[in-house]
Amino acid sequence: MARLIVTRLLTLVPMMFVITSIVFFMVRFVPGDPARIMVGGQRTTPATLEAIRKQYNLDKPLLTQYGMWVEDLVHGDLGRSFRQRQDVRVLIADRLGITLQLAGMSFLISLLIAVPLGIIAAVRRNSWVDISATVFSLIGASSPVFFTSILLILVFSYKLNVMPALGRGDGGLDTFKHLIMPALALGFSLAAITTRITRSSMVEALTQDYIETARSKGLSSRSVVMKHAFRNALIPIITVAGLQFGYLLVGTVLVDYTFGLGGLGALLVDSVQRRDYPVVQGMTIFVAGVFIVINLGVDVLYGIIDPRVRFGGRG
Amino acid sequence: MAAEILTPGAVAGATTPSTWSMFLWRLRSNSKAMIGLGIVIFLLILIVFAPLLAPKDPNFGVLPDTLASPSRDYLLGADKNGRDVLSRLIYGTRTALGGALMVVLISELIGVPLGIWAAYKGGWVDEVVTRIFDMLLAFPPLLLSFAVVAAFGPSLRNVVLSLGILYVPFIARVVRGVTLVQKEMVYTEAARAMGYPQSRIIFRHILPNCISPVIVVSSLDLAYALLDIAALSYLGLGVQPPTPDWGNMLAEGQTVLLTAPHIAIAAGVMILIAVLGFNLLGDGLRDVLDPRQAKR
Repeated sequence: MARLIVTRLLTLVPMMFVITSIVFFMVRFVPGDPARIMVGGQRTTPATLEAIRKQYNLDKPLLTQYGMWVEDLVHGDLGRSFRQRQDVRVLIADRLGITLQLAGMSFLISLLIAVPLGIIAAVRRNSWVDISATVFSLIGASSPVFFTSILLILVFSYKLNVMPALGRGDGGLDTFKHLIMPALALGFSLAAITTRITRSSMVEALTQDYIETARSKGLSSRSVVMKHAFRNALIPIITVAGLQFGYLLVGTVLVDYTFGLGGLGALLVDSVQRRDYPVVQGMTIFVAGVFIVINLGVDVLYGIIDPRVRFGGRG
Repeated sequence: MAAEILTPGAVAGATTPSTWSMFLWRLRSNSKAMIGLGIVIFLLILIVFAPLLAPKDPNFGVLPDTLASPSRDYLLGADKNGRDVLSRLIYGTRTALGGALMVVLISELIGVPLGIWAAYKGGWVDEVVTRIFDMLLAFPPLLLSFAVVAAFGPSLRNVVLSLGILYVPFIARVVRGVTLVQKEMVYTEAARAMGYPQSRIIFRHILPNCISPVIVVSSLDLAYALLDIAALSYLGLGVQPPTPDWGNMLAEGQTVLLTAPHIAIAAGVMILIAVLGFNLLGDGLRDVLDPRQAKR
């Protein structure tokens, strides 16, 4: 298991390298003074420009700049917003909580919808449940998450008046209430794809010989479906759920913006709109880092579920 | 079957009439593909004939009609500047779908040669290219295009260029896979043994075999590109007002959601239909062109 983790970590290092290079070199390829671009091309005091040059070592050769920047990153320094006069690290820390809650709730909702729906659709193929599951996953995958959000606001906040439309509430239960609709909107979107995969991998598992064997042994159909088929269908389901993490990230950004939750997504969109490049750069690196950790987590999970992976059977 | 494999023309697939009519017959019996195709054709008609189909000038506002509800005069109502929502939706097809088409075209122009090159070169070139693709595939394109917009400024051009490049791995990965298989085929080897130049082998044997998978991937990529472009416009990072676009109309509609919900709903439904169309078409084409994979 330890070997699995180490080899996976080693392959993830280049990914970090590529992402950091892209965000680093891009802003330096834009025509004009990089220091000025980092404050969004706005008029600013010579002192601020000097501070930016110092922070990002803009007077040094490009590769030296890159080396020093990466060194700062390794020490956890994600850069500084000169517009908001704060470290990117602090800006992120202030907003991480609400984003994590949103992501966690959405993911949970998506699994609660997708797994039962996918299983029932696979067991009762071509029934009305199966057809509705197919329609649900097609529409869910095609509807932009911000449109789903707006529809929820329209129905539950404006027409029925049972849910708060915007903002993050005053903490505790109130915040939870403010998170229900955003999490539902994102959960639906995620569930669309997971439902499809759950269904197809369950259909495949249910046609295997061992299912026939289990049935002829006289096992209850519940045990056949859950213990024999579902456990074998889990690998593709987890793969897709893991891959969806990227979508979950984008989704939280969009939903955060639509509902005005003031989380990481709002910070990112706001910074892009105001062209506060250091924040965008720092956040992209941060997100890439989280991404790598999650990917690693999914790989380790494989090892736990499927012993073949642990002992090096899978390449 | 054996004869079919040996004649290059037959392998080229869609070019011979019999294969073509076979393809059409199977396409016609696939309801998903047909619904998708219908939606796509409808959207293409909107792009081409927007000036003829739009009942009003999309940028001309009549202030007394601000936020008018749908009526006979304004079929889908008017927006907060008194502009006709239906006309703006029709013209919005040009930026939304036109942008998405450009994204996929850019990704094909770079991705197809890159995929063939990587597979042909093999060795460390292939290794490096594949690794970079894998990384970019794992990372959501939208997040990286945020960085592009932050550096270069918000505009449809910047969005299309950045997404176009970030979509390259989706196409290149498929083309590389096909090339790897075709490279080892008997007829490719025969062509090589006969001393044909590599360019002929690529154009006569490799490229024709890439057509079907590239069409399928492109159709699904168009759905993703539509969603990404709409998202960026919705966030105010893509198409800038007053140019009509579904994404920025949805954002404008959200600000007046309580008094005039028809604007946001109309724009959102339009995005939904367009994305659904390409998803259905892509799924359907996969069933038709690649029955082995469709079985799963």
